[in-house]
Amino acid sequence: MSKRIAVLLFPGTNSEEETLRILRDCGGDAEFVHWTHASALRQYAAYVLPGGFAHEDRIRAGAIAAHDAMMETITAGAGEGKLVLGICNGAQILLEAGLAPGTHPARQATAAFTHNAPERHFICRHVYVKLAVEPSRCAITASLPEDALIPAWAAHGDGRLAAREEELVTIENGRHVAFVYARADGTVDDAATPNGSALGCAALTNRDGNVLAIMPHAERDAWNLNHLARLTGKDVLAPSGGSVLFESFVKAVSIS
Amino acid sequence: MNPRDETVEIRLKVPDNAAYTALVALRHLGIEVGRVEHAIVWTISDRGDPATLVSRIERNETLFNPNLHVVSVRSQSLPLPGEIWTWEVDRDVRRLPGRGVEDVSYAKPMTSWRLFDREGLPAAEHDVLDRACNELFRNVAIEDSLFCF
Repeated sequence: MSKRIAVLLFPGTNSEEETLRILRDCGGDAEFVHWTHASALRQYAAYVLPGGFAHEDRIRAGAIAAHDAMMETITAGAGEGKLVLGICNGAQILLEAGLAPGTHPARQATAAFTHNAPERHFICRHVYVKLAVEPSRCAITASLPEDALIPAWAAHGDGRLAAREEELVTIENGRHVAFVYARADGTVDDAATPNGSALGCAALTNRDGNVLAIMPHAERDAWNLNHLARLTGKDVLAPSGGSVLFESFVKAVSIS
Repeated sequence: MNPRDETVEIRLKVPDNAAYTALVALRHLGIEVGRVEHAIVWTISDRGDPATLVSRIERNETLFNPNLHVVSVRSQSLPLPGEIWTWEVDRDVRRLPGRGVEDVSYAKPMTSWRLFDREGLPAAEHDVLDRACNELFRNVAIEDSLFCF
C-alpha cells in the first residue's frame, strides 16, 4: 500500500490545488486534510503545508496556524521522523512552530521568515534556488543532484530569514540552510536574493533533516505550461522545472 | 522647534478581526482572558506643533484611513495595565512616508495587545501576560516586548 501524503488546509491556504496536483503527478498518494479534521492526520506518512495566508497572517505570518490543532499532530509526527514540507506560508508556520530550523525543543521559535528588506513590499519574482548542502543532509532533497538548481516563484511579503545573531551562527554551522537563492547560471550572490534573507536563505531544514521549510513556490514552475521556453513541441502538462523537488519528496516518502 | 518624543496610538474603529482571532488563540492555549484590544503604537520624534499632531497624522494616507482608524496621543510612553507591546528588533523608521508628517524625524512602530479579564478589568496577572506575550504575541527570535500588569 502506498504511503499517503496529507496536504493541509488552514483557513486562508491558497496554493493547495497546484501542490496536490504536482505531488500526484510525481506519483504521490496525496489528498487534502481540512483543518476541521485534524484528528485524521495521524494516519498519514508525510505532510505538506502549502502556501497562502493562513488565518490572514493575523498577529504574524504563521503565528495562529502554528497553534492550530493540526500542528500538534505535525509536531508529533516530525518528532517521529515523518517528512514535513512547508512551502511559503507553510514554511512560515513551520518556523513559528519551531519545527525549522529546529535547533531548540519543539514549540520554541528561534527564527522567522519575516518582512522583506530593504523594502517591506510583497514581491512576485521568478527565482532559482540552489541546494546548499549535500543532498542527503535532508531526506526530502536526498534524490536531487549536488548543487541542484530549481526554478520557482518567490511570492511573499515575509520571506526574509531573520534571527538573533547567535542563532544565525547555529543555523550556518548546523547546515540548516538547505537552499540559497541563486542566479539562473547557479551563481550565488546578494543580488540573487530578492528579499534580504539572512545567509541568502531560501529554505531551512531541521537537525534531523526530515523537515524542509522553503519560501519560493517550486510548484508554480512545475509543468511545461509554466514556461513558454519549455512548451515547443512538448507535452504542456508534463512535469518539469520545480517538479524535481516534489519527485524527490515523493521518493523519500516511499522509502520512509 | 526642538524635537519632542510622543506616543501615538492608531486603532481600528471597525470590528477588529485580529483582536478576536487573538482572543480565540489565547483561549486555545489555555490563557483565560475575556477580551482583547489591538492597536498600533508609534513612538515618534516630532518637531511640529503638538496641538496639530493628531490632525497631521490624520492627513497621512499611509498611516491613517479615516474609514477605519482613530488616532490619539498617549500621555506616557509605557504600556497601560494589561497591555503588551511587541516590536521588531530591526525596525526603526527614520522618516515616515507621505504628507503631513514631514516634522517626524524618527519613529518606531509597536503592536499593542491589551488584555481584559472576564469582569472587563485589565489583566493583572503576570503569568497571563507573560504567557500571552511569549507564547503568541511575540516571536522571541525577531521581536522584543514590554508589558505592564
